[in-house]
Amino acid sequence: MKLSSAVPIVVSFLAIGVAMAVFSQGATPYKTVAEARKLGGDRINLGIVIDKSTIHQSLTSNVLEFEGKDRDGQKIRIKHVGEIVDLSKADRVTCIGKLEGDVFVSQQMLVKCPSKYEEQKK
Amino acid sequence: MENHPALNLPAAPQWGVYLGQFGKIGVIGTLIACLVALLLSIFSPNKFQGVRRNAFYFACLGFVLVFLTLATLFLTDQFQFEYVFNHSSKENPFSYKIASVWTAQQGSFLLWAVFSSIFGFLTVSKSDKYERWYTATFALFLAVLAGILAYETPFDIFNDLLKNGKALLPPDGGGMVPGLQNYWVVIHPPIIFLGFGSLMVPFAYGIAAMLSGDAVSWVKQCRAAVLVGVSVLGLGISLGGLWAYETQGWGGFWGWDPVENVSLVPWLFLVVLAHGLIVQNVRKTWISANLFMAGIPFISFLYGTFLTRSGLLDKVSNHSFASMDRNALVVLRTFLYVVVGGYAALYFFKGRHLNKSVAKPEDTEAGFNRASFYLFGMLSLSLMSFVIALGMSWPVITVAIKGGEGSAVEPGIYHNAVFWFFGATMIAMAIAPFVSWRRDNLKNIFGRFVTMASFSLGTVGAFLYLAKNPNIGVGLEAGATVNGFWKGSTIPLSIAVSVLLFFCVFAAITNLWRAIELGKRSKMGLGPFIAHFGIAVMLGGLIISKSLERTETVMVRENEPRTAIGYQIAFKDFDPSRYYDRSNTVKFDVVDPDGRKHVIEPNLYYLRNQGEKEVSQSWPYIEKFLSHDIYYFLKKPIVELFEVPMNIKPGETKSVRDFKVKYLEMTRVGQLGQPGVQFGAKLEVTYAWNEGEVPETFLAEPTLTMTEARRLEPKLVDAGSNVKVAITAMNANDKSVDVQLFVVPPVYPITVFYKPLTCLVWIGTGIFTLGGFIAAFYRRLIRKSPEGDFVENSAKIDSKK
Repeated sequence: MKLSSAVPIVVSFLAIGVAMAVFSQGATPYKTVAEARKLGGDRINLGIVIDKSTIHQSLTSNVLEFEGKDRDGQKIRIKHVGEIVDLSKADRVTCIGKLEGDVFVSQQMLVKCPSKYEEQKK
Repeated sequence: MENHPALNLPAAPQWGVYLGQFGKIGVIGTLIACLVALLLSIFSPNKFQGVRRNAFYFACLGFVLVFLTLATLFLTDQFQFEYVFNHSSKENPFSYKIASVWTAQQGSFLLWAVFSSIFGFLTVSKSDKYERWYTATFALFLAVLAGILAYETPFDIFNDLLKNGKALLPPDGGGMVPGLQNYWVVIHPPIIFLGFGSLMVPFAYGIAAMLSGDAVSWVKQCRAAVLVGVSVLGLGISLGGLWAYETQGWGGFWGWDPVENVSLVPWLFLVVLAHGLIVQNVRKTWISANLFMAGIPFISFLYGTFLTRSGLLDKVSNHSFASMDRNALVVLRTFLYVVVGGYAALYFFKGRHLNKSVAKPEDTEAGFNRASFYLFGMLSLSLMSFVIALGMSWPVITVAIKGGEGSAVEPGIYHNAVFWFFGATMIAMAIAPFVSWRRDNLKNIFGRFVTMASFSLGTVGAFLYLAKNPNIGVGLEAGATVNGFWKGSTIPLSIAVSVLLFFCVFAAITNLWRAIELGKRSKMGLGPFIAHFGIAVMLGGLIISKSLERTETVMVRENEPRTAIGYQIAFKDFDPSRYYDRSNTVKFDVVDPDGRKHVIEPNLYYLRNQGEKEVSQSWPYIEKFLSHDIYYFLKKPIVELFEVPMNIKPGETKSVRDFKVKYLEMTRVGQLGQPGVQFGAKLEVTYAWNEGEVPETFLAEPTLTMTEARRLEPKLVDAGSNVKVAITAMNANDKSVDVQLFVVPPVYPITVFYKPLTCLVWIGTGIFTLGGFIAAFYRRLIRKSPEGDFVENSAKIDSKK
């Protein structure tokens, strides 16, 4: 094989390998509370089913607090300090943040949003 | 159809029913025409060529007719059709009725088919020696789309509205999904699907070239369509970003969601192909590589379509998709397998050997030349695209390996992974136009760029200096950091912005320079440089607008103005009578940091939600200036303190955070079961309105009164000056009540974004599209000049002058 052909191939494999390593390090699957406690870190993705009766949006700041359960049924209090999120449409959210004692402090919250291709339930 | 039982409904016009049948027959007819064209291409290469071409034309026109039929059903409110009922309404204006056609799955497949057909119709007659296999490939694809539309037909009438061949007409349909009701739904899908339609052209040429054994002529034949595809798809992607920017409320353009990546990946591959074709044209090299690349844009889009429609990403995408009909999905999946397997096999056994049949030019000596930089850029772009496709597929990959729910790749991780390829591509884009097609040495190349690189560095430095100045810039924080290019690391924001901006400024300046140089000789040959300049401007705009944005959220109430990033916002007016009106706005008085007073009107209205809690819908209010955008997004006003009313039994105390309610006892005035009877709940409501204050307790007795219609009507009573309390339901057995606290007047959460130089994003998009079209419609003749160099175009134009 010519050097001019081999170099791009080697570079490609290297680049894809590095990208996969970045993805596998950074692409966090939805963790449970127990996993979050064990792993630590400040960019944990916590999958939560919301207890709607506990939702409280602060009236003076953008702090949103509620309780929820992870997929193991473990209860956790969430304190969301990022962008204000409307939870009226959501039953389940992904909170990205860190565990501080018994409270998960969320910086970012992903709520399933209606897509342009979603059929509206009639 | 449970909401429209077939009772007392007028008859639907019979022509509407016939039109629907015509649509169904049209799809079947189109399918048959595609199959005829396909079979004649395969089995009768020399006979019936006229029939084959006419069958193909018929198929292309068939899709257009089917589309027009469906559009007519929408425009004439034929709500007996399930698809029309579910996506349109009498209230929708003309443009939305048309757009409703493509707001759901069947319509978007139909749109894809229509635009692919248009490209097929326009290109098949020019495919010359490739026509047989070109037609066959196109016809097979169109047959698949027709098959999907036959399975998932948009022309079905509700079963329970059909009686003896006649249909009943529901009074109205459900309407377009409210979140989509924006002018972009009319503009963006047709443009981006036009781009998707173009992907079939190089794919079909690639197959035809490999099957016919001629790996040369196709390059010139499909060049214009590829460049149109690059321009239109690029424009479509940018407009998608603008749509998100103007409606989503998070002040951004791109979220790396799978539905966005599905359009970006094929576009990047198409850009790679467009450059590969130029090199083959000039150097007679990369013949096999181009044959391989010809199929990748279409295959990657097909794969992305399958991925997003299959339900595989349902749990990780921020968008949720209606899964396809299973049979239709089987058709799509089978086609994907056939395309990937067939193309790979064809390339392996035939395509990769075809370069041997083409004579190489004499001067393809080794060394650096423009093709080297093309290769560098194309490799970077291909890898970037591959990595994005990998990220998009990551949830599926992790499920396959580890099981569970799969891991989504966050935007920050995409940035880390894509950064390297972005940088390499931009450097190639900056340098390539200045390097000769002939052998060159790095010293010469480097020498040509010192001035421009230095000038670019100076520009970036001056910009950042201005950005740091709070009086004229955005007040870039000195200590601000962002995530680094490896997990866990951080780097100063100013460094990150400098590096990213340098790439853009360098590419913009060099391409602009080159455009000015060449413009003296041939204005029509400027297309590629204008396009590159536009891309660099757009990317620079994206980087500045997002990374140097400032944002703050404040809670505004009547008579309680607040200040966010220097903008004082005071509530002005909200008209409750227009609660459900989608054009309703809430007015606020704003005083800018420089003292300018004006009114902003972010949109806010509520959706009627049949028995369930009403959902608010809002659009941001954006003030656009040349130097910056100010972006106000009003979140759902806080009126109800509890997301769900609090159920309390007598004697119980319940609380949500700082708000505590004690239910003392139940009261009653009047005869049980009689109109006018009033039930009350004596409550103690305790809260501190401002953080840090001592909580106060208020006694309140909200009531429910039975009306003549035997309904319980709640009455709100004060619990202090900021809160009203109501009981929304009562249980006679255990005397429990559902209590809700209302904030009166409501709290309006407003997020303000200051986004510098956002206009560059749209200006850059416009310049890029213009450059792309100039390149597409100016057929450059690349030939050897008397001096032995390759001349791209100008000599011919000049000689005409």
